[in-house]
Amino acid sequence: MDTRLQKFLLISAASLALFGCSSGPKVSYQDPNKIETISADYGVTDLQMLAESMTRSLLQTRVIMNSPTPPLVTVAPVKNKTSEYIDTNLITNKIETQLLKSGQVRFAVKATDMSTQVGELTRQNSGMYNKETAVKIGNMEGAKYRIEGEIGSIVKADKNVKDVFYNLTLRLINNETGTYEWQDEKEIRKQQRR
Amino acid sequence: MKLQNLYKFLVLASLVLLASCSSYVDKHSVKMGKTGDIKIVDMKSFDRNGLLVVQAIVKNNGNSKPVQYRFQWFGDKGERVWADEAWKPLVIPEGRTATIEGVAPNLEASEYKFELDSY
Repeated sequence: MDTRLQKFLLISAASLALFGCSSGPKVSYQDPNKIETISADYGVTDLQMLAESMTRSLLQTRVIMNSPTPPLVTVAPVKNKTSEYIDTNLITNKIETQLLKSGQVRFAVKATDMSTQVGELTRQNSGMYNKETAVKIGNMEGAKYRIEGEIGSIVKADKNVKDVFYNLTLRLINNETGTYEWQDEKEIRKQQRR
Repeated sequence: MKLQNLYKFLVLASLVLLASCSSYVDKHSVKMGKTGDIKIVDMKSFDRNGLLVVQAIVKNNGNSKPVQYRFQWFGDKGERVWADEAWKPLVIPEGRTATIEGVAPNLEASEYKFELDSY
């Protein structure tokens, strides 16, 4: 057999063995409640722990539990004061969901969603809708309380260890009086070794 | 004779108390995986502004692998009143105890289960 042909066949066989049968990325579903320790950066478990801890703490307060009807609350986005990118909407959404599901709190539309709310009211009162069924302008309820807070971090690292400390502080403020009715914090510390 | 009876009574009362304590812990907790030297020492539940609050005292009697915990919440008829909570890591230095507090997510929760697992 021609040497060139032999070489070609050999290279082709080797390439096939190397790349032809290589499997693609392995994907598997995971339990979302499982502890995630891929890195010391902010992760799923941190989000879940922060939201749960804050919600349960807030639920125990007298202003919530002793209110004859579930008080109307609004949530301001949590401020990210850490050095990394954190989607703080996930924190506020999770807290909002858990509080609503508890049945002890009602939520008013957030300031960030106000344009959608106003748009819907305006659209229904634009003259294109039946006046009998269209929602009325002027009946929106103002929230008695608002929840606001911030997440901060302290990061220290050398060539072997990275130590991360997170602190989420939330407070419940009476919109009328401007008084703090509740405040709590949750701390998380993680370490990553190379 | 009277002193002897008193001793007997005290021993019996202690045994009953110990038995009731361990059965309460057993009834309200589940240990999974290799939790090794991590032991649930005591558990108590009480009402705080209408919500069921649980305190579990956990001790690390030696070197153990990392453990995780969570609470499950049930209603009067044993029905689940909240979805599975996320597992939370538990770090207790050797020989130390830690008090873990669980707060019910709603007013429907009247029973609970404390789950401890390795990860």
